[in-house]
Amino acid sequence: MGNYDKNLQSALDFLTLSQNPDGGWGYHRDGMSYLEPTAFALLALFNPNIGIKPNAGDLRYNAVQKALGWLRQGQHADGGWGVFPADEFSNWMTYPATWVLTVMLKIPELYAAYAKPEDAAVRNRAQQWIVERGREPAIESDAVFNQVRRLFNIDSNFRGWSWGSGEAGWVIPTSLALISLVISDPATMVENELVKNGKNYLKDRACPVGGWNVGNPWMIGKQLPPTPDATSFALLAWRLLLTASDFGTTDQLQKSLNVLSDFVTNSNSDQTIVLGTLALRLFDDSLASLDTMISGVTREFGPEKIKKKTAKGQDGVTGGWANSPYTTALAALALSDTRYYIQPG
Amino acid sequence: MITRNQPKKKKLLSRRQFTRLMLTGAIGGAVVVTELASRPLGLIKWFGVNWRRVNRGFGQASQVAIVNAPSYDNVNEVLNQLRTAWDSVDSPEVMGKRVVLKPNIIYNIPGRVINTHPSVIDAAIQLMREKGAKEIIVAEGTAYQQDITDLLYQSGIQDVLERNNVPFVDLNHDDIVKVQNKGGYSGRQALWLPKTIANADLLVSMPKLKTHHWAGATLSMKNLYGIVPGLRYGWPKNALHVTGIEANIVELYETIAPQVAIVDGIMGMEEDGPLFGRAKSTQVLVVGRDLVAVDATCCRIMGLEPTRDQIKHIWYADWLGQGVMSQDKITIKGVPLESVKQNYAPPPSLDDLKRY
Repeated sequence: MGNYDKNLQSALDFLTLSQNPDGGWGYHRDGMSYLEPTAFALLALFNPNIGIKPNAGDLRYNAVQKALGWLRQGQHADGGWGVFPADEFSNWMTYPATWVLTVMLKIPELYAAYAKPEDAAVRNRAQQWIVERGREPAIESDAVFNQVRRLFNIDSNFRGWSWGSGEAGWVIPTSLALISLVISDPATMVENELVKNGKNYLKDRACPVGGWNVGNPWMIGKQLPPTPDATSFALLAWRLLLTASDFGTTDQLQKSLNVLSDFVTNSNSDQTIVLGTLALRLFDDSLASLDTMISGVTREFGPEKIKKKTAKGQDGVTGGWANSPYTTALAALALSDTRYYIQPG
Repeated sequence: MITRNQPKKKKLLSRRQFTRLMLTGAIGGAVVVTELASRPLGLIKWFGVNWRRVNRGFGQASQVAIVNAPSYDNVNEVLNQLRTAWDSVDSPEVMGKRVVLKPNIIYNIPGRVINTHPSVIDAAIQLMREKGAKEIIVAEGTAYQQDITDLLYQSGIQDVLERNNVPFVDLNHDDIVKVQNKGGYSGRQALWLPKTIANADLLVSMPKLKTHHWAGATLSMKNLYGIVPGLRYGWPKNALHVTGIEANIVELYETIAPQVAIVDGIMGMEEDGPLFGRAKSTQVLVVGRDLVAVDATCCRIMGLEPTRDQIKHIWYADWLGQGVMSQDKITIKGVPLESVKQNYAPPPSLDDLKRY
């Protein structure tokens, strides 16, 4: 793994240098700051294995401090976050914000370097929002409940988490919400009834061929295929929550890993390759090649079948992926020696 | 009996004054009650809508062009047909404008004709260039996954973008701005929109001719769902379902102007659209700047009539005066509607399940 230290370092340098003046990061370099890319950039920069230098002269230390300030300021009175501070309604961005705060609070070196006395209360209020406001409401009408089951083959007794408060649950926000709840105390939280229900939601929404999509494995009698993003996030959650026995005798995990592996192998997207590699490596280092993620992909392209680099991999000059702080942060997590970001402490 | 002239007590109000006061109060109360009861439209808006509808009634008919386009194979042929259609109606000025082409790109399911075909996008890019566009951008915020890159490659659209040297903007992750929701029919006062859309001089909605199991049909107005940023409203844009599909479609149309539609009807989708329906060869392109008229015409090409009960958003947009759906208020240019009319199998009706 030491072979990739330079790649990791230059990815973190990219993040440090691509931070916006307000302290956040965008999905694209110079794009406006949003909470999700800021949370993942923080998770990447938190990497305790490369050492923390808590002094004002250190660029990385300063970047993290500034980003944490942006994050703390953005919390609403109800405990949640919007997509950025100007967004007055709390929504799914609360899940990655809670996740990153918990990692900081659980790793002693990070806590010592970055935490403020009020951070535990900030995180607790956020968890409260997730429990009370982020979860999808129950379906009251029996007729609707039964029709949903008939047309979509899903069990609405299992309630996921929403993108926006009061809406239906979906796989990606459910995965992020479960991670952000469980990561603080996995041994206790996996027995929590809400979390168990969420686990069952993920089991119920898995596609028959393996993997996940937005949350509709069936659409009026037809199978809706899995997608790489939902499959990756659900597998991240699985690493914390689920075991093979959760699916009884089915080989859902293996099918999902195969599906994701196929996505990564055939993709022309840096984001898909990076996110998929991150998820696959949580199960087996040999499943995912960091080399592909770093070097990119060259394929025949267009009617003339010209060879072209479709996924560009890590930029040799900037150290980033797809000129995107978000994708680069995910790549930095995939490059990490340890799983501190999902199994802290 | 001695009577005295006692001074009359001065009444606070005469009977007439009292009656006037009561009447005024009753009218005022009725206005308030009606305003509250008629929300989210509201009484004031209702007057505005009716004023617009009356004006529409006296106005000129909307123009919609229908042209035959037998296949996607030859882009030049598609371009020729598209140019004919564009020039035959009162199309908007393009010269010097920042034009955003918004196709419908949502899923890649083998054997299904889901996305706007790359040949039509290619032809539209070339047409906008011919007409003197200052800048051309292709943009979409796909509904079912966060990253659209592989959809662009699999659909062949990436090749078109690169050959024409045209940038693509992922509207799900663009910078966003808060705009006033001009319609307000969903109860939402403001809307976060991608800057690419907010800053466009001309938005070209480029849907595929398809049925839709929630909305009845997905055409140039429903295609506007794709501009709503996923990072704020989630995937698959569910926030716009729970507050009413029809209300959200018409208020997006009202909020985001000016627009024009180019409908890819060369190969349409019938029955269980927008993903699992059957391909239906229809061999038309439809163009117009009144999206209500364009969509109503497309419905008739599919053999479906937009009514309050089915394909309600078109009826709703007409009722709001955003455009016209009545056949006698639409002037068809190009080939007659009857000559291209098909008999699409309708989508299943799922009215009570729109939160999914």
